[in-house]
Amino acid sequence: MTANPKPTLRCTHCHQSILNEIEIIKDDKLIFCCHGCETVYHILNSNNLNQFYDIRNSELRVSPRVNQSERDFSSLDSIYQKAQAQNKCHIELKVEGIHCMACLWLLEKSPEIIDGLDLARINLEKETIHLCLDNSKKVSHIAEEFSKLGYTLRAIDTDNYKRGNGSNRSEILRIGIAGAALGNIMIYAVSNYAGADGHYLKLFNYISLILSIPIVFYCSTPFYRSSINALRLKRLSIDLPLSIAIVLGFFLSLYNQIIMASEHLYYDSISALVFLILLSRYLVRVFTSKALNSDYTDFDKSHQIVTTLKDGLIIKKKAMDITKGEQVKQLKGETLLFDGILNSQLIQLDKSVITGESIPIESKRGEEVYAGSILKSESIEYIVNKEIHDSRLSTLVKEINLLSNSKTKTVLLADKISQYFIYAVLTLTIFIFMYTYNMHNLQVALNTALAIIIVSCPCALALATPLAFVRSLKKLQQRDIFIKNEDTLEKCSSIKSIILDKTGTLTKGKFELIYQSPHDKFYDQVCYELERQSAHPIARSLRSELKKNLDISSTITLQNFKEVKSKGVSAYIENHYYFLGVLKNEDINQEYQEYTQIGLYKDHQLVSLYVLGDQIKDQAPELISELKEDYNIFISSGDREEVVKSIAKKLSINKENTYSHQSPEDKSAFVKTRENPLMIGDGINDSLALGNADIGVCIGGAVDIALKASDVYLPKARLDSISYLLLISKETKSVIKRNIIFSLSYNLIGITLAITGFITPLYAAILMPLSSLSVIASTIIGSPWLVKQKILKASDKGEIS
Amino acid sequence: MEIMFFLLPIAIILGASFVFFFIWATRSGQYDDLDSPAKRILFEENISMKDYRKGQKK
Repeated sequence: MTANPKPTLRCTHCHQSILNEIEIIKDDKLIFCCHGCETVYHILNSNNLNQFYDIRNSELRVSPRVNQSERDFSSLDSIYQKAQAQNKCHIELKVEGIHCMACLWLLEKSPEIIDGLDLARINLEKETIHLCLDNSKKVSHIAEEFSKLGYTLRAIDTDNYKRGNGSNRSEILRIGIAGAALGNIMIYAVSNYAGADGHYLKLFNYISLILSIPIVFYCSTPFYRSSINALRLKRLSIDLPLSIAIVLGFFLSLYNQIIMASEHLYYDSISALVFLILLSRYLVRVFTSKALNSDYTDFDKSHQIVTTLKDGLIIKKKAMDITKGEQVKQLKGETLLFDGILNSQLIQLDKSVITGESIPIESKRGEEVYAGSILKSESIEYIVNKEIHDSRLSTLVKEINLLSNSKTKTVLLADKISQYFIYAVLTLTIFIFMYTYNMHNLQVALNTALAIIIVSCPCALALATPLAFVRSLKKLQQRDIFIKNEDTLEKCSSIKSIILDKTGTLTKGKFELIYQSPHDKFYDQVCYELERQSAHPIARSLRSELKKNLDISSTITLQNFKEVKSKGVSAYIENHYYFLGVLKNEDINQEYQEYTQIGLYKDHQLVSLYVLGDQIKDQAPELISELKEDYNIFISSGDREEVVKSIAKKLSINKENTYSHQSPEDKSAFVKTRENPLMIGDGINDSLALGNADIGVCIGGAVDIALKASDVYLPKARLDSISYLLLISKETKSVIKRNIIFSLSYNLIGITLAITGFITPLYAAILMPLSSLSVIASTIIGSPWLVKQKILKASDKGEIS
Repeated sequence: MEIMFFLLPIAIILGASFVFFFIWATRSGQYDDLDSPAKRILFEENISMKDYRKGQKK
């Protein structure tokens, strides 16, 4: 029954659909959503850079809306003062707003538009830009030029950045060198096992020794470091047995080779171990999401210029200089910077920051307004009652920043097991050492004991977890599910309750025309004309919905237009009296009780009924019915009780499990009381709860701060991703468990062989890769039966219903 | 089999030189950004029609 939408109007620059007619700025045949986009378009156009739109369209991407706020970049100058002393200065800056190929193209073309800029190179991976500028131009000037294009430049914490760069490079170096050394050592090892003897055997062994030196002393240093760090925290990590095996294996081989002239050498096993583990850890890092790990969010608007009113005089000031009691004026479309008391007449505010509802709400004089709300009516004057850094929003952001820095890491399963493992191996080794010492001599005892330690090296155990993670992370990424780190997956498998936000998560978050009866072109036209005169938020939503299937050019003349306060609007058209607004009680459609209903009356007779509301997402009911079997589901929303209850009813969620009128603080407090909670949300109002949940999932076009607080990011906002995520996390856990069992059984065999004295380097060389291989194979196979079961279940249900 | 004593050093020197080049490439930052070069290559250079015709005449 929904209205069949025609293609909506889209902004020429940012290609976002235009919801409110007021935002349209027409210019020839171009349509813009705001002045920012218009400016950028004209800059590009006048410089022959229109190719930007071709590249962007070929990628089917949407540019971000250009935010045209006055920004102060002068702080950049002092930071880059040193670099600017040289004739041509090269600097590296962080760029905000890059998201597609067209941006890359435009930014690298920027030297053609911006004076004094010689070169611009983008690093997409790190989202940085390398600039080469004349020393005649200030960095702040360049930054201002970029902000006109819609990109924001920021200073980088140079030390941190270089360290990050360095550690990435050395990680690659370690893998490369370990790989090269391993490849060569293998060649000699194979010829030795194949029966090389005499001079050749000796020569090959010495070459192996030399090649394994970089592996032991360079490539494995991360293992040593992390095991020492863990020991300092009085914990045993999986890296400890690895380090012991590597070091002992190397020195035992060295001793055997030079002093004993025996053939018990383990160079090949050690290097294979180091290479495989380095590689698997690198892959885990590649597949975890960079966006969620960025250590950077900026909410600081303290440099923004604000208009204040004092005794009728207008004074411009920086936001941070504004104190309590001052009166501030802000314009339409701006985000309020302060908490305060409203001093204007009726205004409309988008309070999504606090409530999560993006439908504008009317506020009256004397009511409190909060920073972060977006002004929807013309202008606002309000009296500041908290300074910029003390506003409710700033406090929230501060808390979230603290949270995301201190979120406790779970101890990985492999680490837990390896703790027991180390104790077991150590006691066993001491026991065996004593025994063989009594039976034989010190020489034999020492050799056997060392052999046990080397053979029991949990190589496969160390591989078991990262490999399983890599596979799952990659699978998830294919479905556009991004994960913060490997902990997340392990935590996901122990989730017990799921808390959902309503607007934007379960529902589409847009006010849409749900139902209309009858479909009549003329009445629609009348409605449209009537609503055009009104600035009421509901009127505006209805108007933009109606416009989709209307021919705007034909006009109807209204006579005697009147606005009936909090009822609706009325006018005469061709001598008929029309009223549009609140329904009479007897006309309310019971089916759509919880939605907003508007009626068009012609001479006091209902002729057309419109139902507006926020619709439930298509996949939501399915998801909820699926999740209900295994988890406790809760809804926590900032919206009114009736709306939340009706949504819950439609999704058949218990009434006791729904919570309405929740402030951001309420939500987070609620999450804390639940056992192993997973929170799903999208707005600033959910962020604190996202941060406090075991797993925070942020969805769709979430704001920066929500991203920072969460562990999982679903950019496509598909709800079925959540059940997939939970399924994969369970599968991962079962794979990890199986991998660990495999590797432990191999170790058991190895240790038995070592005790009985059967172990030779050949056995070790076969056993170690074999155990690693079986772990790799087991990971690749995964747990198809687990996934199949789930799919079968789902399809069964589908048949029944 | 004496040829081995000649071949082995060559093999090792070759291997070492590859490792050396790898180290050099990494240090010079070639592995720092694996995303943008792949996209950058797809951009066409802006060639105006004049230049294009000139090129054709030659």
